[in-house]
Amino acid sequence: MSNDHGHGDKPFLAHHFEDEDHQFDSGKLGIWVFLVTEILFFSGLFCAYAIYRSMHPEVFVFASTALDTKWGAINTCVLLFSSLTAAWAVRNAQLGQNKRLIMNLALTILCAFGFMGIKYIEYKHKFHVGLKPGTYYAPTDEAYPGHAGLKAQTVAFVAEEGQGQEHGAGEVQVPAAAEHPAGEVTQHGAEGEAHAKGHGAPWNDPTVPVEVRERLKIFFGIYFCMTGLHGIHVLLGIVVFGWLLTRAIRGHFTPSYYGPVDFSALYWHIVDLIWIYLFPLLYLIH
Amino acid sequence: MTAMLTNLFQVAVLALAPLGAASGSASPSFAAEAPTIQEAGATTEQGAGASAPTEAAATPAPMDDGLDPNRVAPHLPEFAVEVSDGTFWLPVAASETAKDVDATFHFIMWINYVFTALILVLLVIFVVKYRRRPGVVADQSITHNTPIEIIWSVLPTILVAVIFWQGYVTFLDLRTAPKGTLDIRVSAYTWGWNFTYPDGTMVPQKLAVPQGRPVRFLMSSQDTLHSMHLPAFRQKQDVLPDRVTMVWFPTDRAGTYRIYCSEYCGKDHSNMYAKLEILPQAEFDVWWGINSNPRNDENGQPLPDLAYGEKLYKYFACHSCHTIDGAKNTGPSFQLTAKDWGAERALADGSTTLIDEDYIRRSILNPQSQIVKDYGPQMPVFNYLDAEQIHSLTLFIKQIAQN
Amino acid sequence: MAKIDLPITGRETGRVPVQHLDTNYLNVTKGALSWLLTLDHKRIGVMYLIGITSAFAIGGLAALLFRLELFNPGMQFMTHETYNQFFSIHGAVMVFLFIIPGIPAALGNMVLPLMLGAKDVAFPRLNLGSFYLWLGGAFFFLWTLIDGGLDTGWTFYTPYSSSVSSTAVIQATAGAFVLGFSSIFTGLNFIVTIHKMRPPGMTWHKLPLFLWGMYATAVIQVLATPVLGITLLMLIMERALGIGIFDPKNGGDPVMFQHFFWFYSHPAVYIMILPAMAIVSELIATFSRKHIFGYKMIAYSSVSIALLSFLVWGHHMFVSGQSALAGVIFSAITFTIAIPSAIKVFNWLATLYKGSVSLETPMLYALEFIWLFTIGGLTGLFLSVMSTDVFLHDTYFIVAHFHYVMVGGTLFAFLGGLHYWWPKMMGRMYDEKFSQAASIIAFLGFNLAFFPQFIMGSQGMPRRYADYKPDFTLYHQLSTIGTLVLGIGILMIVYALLKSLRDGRKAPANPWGGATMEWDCPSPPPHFNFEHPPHASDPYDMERVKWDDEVQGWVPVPGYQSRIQH
Repeated sequence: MSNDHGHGDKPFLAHHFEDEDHQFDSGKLGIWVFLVTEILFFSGLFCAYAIYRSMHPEVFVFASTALDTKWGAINTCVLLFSSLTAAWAVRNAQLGQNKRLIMNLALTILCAFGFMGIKYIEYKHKFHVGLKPGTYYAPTDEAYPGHAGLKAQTVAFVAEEGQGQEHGAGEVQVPAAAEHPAGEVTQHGAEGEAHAKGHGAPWNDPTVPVEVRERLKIFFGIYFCMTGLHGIHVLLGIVVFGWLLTRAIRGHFTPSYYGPVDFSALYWHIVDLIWIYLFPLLYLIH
Repeated sequence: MTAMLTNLFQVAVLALAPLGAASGSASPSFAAEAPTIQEAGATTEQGAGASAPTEAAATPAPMDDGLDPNRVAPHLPEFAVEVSDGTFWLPVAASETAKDVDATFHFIMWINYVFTALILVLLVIFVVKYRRRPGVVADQSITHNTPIEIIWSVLPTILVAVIFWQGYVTFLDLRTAPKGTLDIRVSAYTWGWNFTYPDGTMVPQKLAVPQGRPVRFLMSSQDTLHSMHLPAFRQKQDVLPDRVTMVWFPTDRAGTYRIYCSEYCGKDHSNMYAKLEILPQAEFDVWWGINSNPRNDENGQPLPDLAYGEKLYKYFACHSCHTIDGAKNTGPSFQLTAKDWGAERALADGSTTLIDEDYIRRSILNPQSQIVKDYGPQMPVFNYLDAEQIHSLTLFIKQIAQN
Repeated sequence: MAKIDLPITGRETGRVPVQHLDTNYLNVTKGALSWLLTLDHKRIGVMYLIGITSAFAIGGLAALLFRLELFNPGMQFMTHETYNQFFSIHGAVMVFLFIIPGIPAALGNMVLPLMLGAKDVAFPRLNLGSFYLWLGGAFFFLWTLIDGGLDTGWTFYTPYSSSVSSTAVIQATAGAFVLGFSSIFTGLNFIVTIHKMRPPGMTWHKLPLFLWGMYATAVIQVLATPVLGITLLMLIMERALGIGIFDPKNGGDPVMFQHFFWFYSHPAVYIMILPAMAIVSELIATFSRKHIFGYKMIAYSSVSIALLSFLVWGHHMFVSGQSALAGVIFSAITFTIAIPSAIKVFNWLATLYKGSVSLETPMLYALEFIWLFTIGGLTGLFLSVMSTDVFLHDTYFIVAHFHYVMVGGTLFAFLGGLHYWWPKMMGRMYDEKFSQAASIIAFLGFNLAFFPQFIMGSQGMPRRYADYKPDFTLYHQLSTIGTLVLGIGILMIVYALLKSLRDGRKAPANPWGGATMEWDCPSPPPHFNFEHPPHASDPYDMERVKWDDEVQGWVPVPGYQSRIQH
């Protein structure tokens, strides 16, 4: 079998490299080239975002109100912190501090799980209020806080007071309503979704212009594509860091061999960086 | 799965058939031409009464548009006309702009000829003259020659700058319509063209314009991408579903011109011909009399309902998707519709509907609202048919079962 | 693994080096797993070769069948739907499974480390990963064939592909998506290898032109392919979920798809042609026994073509509805790519001048390439000029143009490279006369197949037509006959190469007299290629090797000092 681990006393130095520095330099160039491809990969979506937002700015501003800035901000902090622990892990590896390396790798993974957990909360809520991608888009009254449909506004006014949370409106028992969600004729039976779970009437706020209402689903298409793709990259990062953690526990990394930690941390920084662009572009547009 | 494998198998077997067979018939499921079901009095908008063949998937009535019908392969769509008077490379140039574009074309062609010949000649000379011979050694000193390198960089640059500029200027001519055009709205769909004159008269698959005034097509698509290709005018423009695009052409040269669709749009992309006639005013008036009202036969007399329905079946290209002999095609065969008249028909969303006059009417005006089970949402919207047309078509469909 | 006495190259000792190895990378370990889990770039190259040849067979068969259908007007044995499937599958399989991976995967993998005197590429496991991604993409395409086929054309234009077609669009685009990653990782690997694993003395200006070409190609692979990836991903989302980016019914814009698609696909055509040109540079130099003319110009033109290629995608869209201003910019920049390509052709001709030319099979392919690429490139002028493109777009003129550059260009150069490096890869010589005849037959068949298409295109015949008017019959018939002749030529080529594996003479280390480093190791190379990288010298210094009758090959001249400084 040709899985050659080359130079005897250096089990992780591949046979086709002259020395560990050579291997590290090559790996470094390799990961940077890969990160350039990642930027280009996301660029298509950023481009789509830019084009549609410049064509319909009011749509994006309005749709953004459905996103909870609080969770987005927490996620940003979580990822920033995880980038810190990842960079710290590299330093630990360089200095041969294996215990701290393990701790920092574990923290990074924990933060990544935290990020995914918060994403789960956000997505779950969106689906709850009918903000789904593509033909499944069928917003209910609670989808856009402050812009609930007339029926729910009336009921909320009568039944509740001081309900500041967006989840609050969902607990009001609004009678199930019409077949077709606002402005959408779909082939996939989204009509039933809104009242099947008893989460409110379809959204039809007449104060919002029709052209805006009908275009909101584009925002959510882009939102789910961008955050979804980003989320997949976070999951992949969890797998990569899990692998690093296993190797660190086995003591593979030394001050002369820590390339994988370095390169994976770089990948993680890019994932973080992409989120740092996504957050304001999606959550903070006013 | 089986469809694809069956096709592969069919192809493999039939590929052994003699290649020279210029077959006029196709498999029954491909019915590009409109089979007629009445012998006598068959009228088509092409006019004069040559008798129509009686078998189903057979050749349509020969065209009578001044061209020898035997010049047109009978299995090909009736709207594709012969072309003539071209040169080796190019079809006839029917406008001044076309001639300007041709001048650029020929200039580029000469660049092609000269450089191809030059490179070929040099190649052959060098390969022969410097062929490997014992005792002869290659001259290793020749790796640069700055003067020659400059010449062969600068000269092509100048040439391409010239053709770039020519191309840009003539492009602007193609894309800038003059004032005072006759504006015709064009609606493309799978798989046909509707031409609407300024007064609202709509004629499908063909149009005529009087000589003199330049014409502008304002085009959009009802469904997917198409492209208006007018070779005689060197014009082409994609036809889009969310925009209006434009081509224009002058009408100085009378004649009949072929229009193609040149953006792949699905099954019958290669059947989407349309016919453009540029006619002197007097002849145009005659054409208008016959064609502006599809109800009129070639003598200008209104057709009775049933005959009108039969004519409309081809006129609106229903025949490209709905057969009348029961064969399966893009849409349900009218024979089945006729046979099941009065019964329930299963729809794609699980519900059923009664086959009656109103069902036909709904299918024509809003086809997407009731797609039949096992079929797709491909029927264009024919919401411009009037009540008489719908009624006549309904009669036509109903009586298929009676024959 | 047995320790092998590694051959010492003749450069250092002046002895005639080991020519042929009976125990080499092909047989040093045995068993399917030793191949499927190999990290040896040479074995990966061989596996790719088998894969892409199979893909070529499928794509070629599809073409043959629909060209038979097109022999006469009217439909003989296909329906319109079947025809649409065949041309789509032909395009998708040929572009994504054969021609884009083609030269980098099958020849680049084999030769690149050898030309650098290296033991392997920078990331061998990634290399194997690239191969399995290729297989994965191929699997998706097979699934497509079984599960409804594809009838959108290889370009997947919306809204037909996103909302209308009922074929297996998602599987096909997923296949192309996976293949994109194969391409990206191969490019990444090559960039790092060329940057970091050059032997002592090989400065950038001593890099063989094949490697300059592979480098420029790798840059495009890495920068352009991710955009295809995201475009196809969005198309899949559009089709599966109705997202609404490209379909006007859902608020999207179909022309935007075209922009995204061609942003990748135009640079992709340079992924196809730059390696081909790189091979031709090697062949012309070796078989003229002469230093390549204008080395720096050729090297720099490769990189500049790679970079400029990102700026011209709109020349596929002059009639799509994009603005005239955008059109004029794209048209102008397109010409800036034409000039470096022309300069390369002149440089090759100048290399022949006062050379010592022999016409073995690889050289035949190189010369045929020059003819075919000249025609393909010059006909491209019609298409970059805006007004002539208006009436030529989407006609057979375009089909002829791109087949001249992709088949006449890339395929013929690929065959030339394959025949050039075959003795190195397999350790066998093929029957020279038979292979020369096959090459000429293929060349004649190709011209007969595609030249008439120029004429019918300029006469107005649109492309992707299952059927046509009788006035085009003669051109279609000539084209179909040419296709059959081309097919025969290709069968002969494959036969000759396969036969050589059993009956061919054992190959010497340097059968052609090349001066690049891969000829310094035996044919076939041992598993490790070189114990230490040889010291680099000018890769086109042909006088550093001389013919040796005894080994029937070229050997290094003992004590050679280069006379000429370049």
